[in-house]
Amino acid sequence: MRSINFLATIIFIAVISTGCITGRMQLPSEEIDEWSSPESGPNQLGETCGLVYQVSLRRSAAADYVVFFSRNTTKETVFFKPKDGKLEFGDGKERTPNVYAQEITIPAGQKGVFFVSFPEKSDFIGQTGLTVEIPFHTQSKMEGCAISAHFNKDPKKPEGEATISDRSDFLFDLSLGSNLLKTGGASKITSGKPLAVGLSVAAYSKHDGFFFDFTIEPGKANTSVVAPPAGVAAGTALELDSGIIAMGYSYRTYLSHRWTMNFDFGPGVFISNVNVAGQSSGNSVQAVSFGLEQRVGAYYLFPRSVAGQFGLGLTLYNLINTAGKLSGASSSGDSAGFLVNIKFGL
Amino acid sequence: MTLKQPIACVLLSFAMILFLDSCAHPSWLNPEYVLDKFGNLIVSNIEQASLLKKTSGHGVSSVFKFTVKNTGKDPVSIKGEKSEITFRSTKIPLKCIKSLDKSAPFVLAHDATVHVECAISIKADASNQLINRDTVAALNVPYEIAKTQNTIQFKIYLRAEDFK
Repeated sequence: MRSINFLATIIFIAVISTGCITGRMQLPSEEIDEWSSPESGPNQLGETCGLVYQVSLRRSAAADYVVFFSRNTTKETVFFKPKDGKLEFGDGKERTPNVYAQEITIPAGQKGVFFVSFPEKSDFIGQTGLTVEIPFHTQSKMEGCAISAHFNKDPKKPEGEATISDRSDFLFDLSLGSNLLKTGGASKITSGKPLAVGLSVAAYSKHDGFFFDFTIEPGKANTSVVAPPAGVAAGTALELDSGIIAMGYSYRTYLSHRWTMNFDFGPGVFISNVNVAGQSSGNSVQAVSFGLEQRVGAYYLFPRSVAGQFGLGLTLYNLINTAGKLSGASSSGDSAGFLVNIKFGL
Repeated sequence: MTLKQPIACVLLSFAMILFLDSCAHPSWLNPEYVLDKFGNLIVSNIEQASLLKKTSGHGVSSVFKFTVKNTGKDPVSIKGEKSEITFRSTKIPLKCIKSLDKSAPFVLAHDATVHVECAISIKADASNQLINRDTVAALNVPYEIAKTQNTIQFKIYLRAEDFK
């Protein structure tokens, strides 16, 4: 029941957050400041073949975009085929834009907006110039018309980390590892080195964010210290599952355009549970107390796919159980270990 | 634990929504972009360059920005010093803080582009009445071309709740 509640709530969080995030991604609004010029700002304006247009470079955590606003002053419908567009950098590197519609039409006298994105944020690394071109036609003029704009990077401004690095602002994390060390009462009640399993979500606004985490160490209890649950014979093999449900502050810093390092710290509820080995239900003893969690890790995010963004990482964790008694034995103490993380970003 | 856990998770969900919502910029809504041509001037969409700020009393202020390109052969004089916002028949001066911030008109040559930022500040009692309903205000930037007077005009939407 508990795990069902937990999973249901995680899904609830995911659905709401996904809605919030994707809702914001309808039209990318963050300008790429370092590609903005003092004279024209972030916009390039022009007029050709009866089309008045504005071209802007924008970005989100997921991608860099070219946004096209246009006003059709002709008496015919204008047809764009964004996939025939061209994104050409100053060093000659050419990219075919990712498109979100195969064809865009703007009726006579109307206005319209659409955007395309760059295949990779890292396309911008080391670049100083960019030419954007999207052809269009009308029924009477089938060729020779294109929206065209040229952007220069402001040499006084550094490369924007958010421009060249593709980092999800909302990350799910599924991890598996092992406990390495326990101290105090926690070490006495545990037999051997338990596994460690984690499930967490984190949301960021640039470097700062918060996390919600569930880390559990399923292992064996030291039966010489931990008394069996009522009705269970002494000497019966016992399982000890201890873990934390925590939430708190998360800070991330960028090591390179694909590597990120994060530090998480927050309070939580520490739970230790003893039950008979091999029996998931039945007699058990549980201790619940105030806990703390801190984690430091690094992860690599792969280029984004249609499904989202996957990553791999390694995390060192430290769980602190401040109090608690389990069958008469103290369960407080530190628990430290490592986790190999599989990440999925939106 | 069976109850505490889902309650804590739901509270977390609300915290997350608040966190994500805090990323959104409160703004004077501009539901449709206004990219347009005024004579030979192409004028970009107008966008908010700063968050809304509450001023003393029931007032708000913000900075708007836009780009203008002169595609004609004649130079254009943009009169930032005479810019204003018309709000319920009341004219309030617009304080341009970038490009049009001089007392003399800004001369935009052929094929030149200028990026402009102007601050607007409105008090709810500017027209001697509290703002209690949404309204539309016009942002007027006069310009002169070959001694002919014209005006670039943007419409912005003011929400009553922003003044409370």
